[in-house]
Amino acid sequence: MDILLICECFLIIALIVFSFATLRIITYKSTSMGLIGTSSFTLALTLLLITVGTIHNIGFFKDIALALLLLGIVGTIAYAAVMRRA
Amino acid sequence: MMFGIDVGLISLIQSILLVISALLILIAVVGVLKIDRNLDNVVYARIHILGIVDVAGIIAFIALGQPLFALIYLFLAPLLAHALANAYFHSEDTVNNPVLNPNIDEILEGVPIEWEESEGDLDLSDDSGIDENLEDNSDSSDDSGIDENLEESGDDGND
Repeated sequence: MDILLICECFLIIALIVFSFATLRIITYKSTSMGLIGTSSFTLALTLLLITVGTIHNIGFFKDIALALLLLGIVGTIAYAAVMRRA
Repeated sequence: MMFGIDVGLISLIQSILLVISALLILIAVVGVLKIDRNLDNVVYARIHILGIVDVAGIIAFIALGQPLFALIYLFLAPLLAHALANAYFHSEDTVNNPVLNPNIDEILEGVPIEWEESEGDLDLSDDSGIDENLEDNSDSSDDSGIDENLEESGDDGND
């Protein structure tokens, strides 16, 4: 078994654990914690998509990950700006 | 061979980077979950901890052969963290923001400041002698004359 594949599986496991941690952060009652958890979950999902796409050679996973990364971060920044003014 | 480097060596470097990023992510998970939620500035602390995950993500992007993702996230992650902290401060932070909590000044004024006394008393007798020498030197300097000239001319010197 290739060592790179083992390390990618290890990264996937770490990202799954991190996803559950971000879900725990999202459940806090303040809006800011929800935003922080959502942005972190977006990063975890992006990394998961890229890792799985690399392992299985699925090309459009990278396109989905790029859209998710850009739109997720820009949307979070926009909501934070609105929240600051409100 | 890729760029004159053996492919096995490249995959080994990729593996090391992936393991480092995975370990950083797990460390951040432990930190986020174990931090005391009753702290005053716990939101800023969580943003700070999740900065480790941002760096781990950039390392993982590079290791997976996606430099565009790494570059995008390298520029957007600090903006994101600052926007979140700024939004929290102006909308929900009742500990530090005087607009949301007008009693902050009264609370801070009511808290007595306790100075810790050092074990050994410092002898400051020599400092008074230094100050006297400084005062004597200031009298003999030409700065006083300059100030007098400025006051007479009415120029404040800002121009």
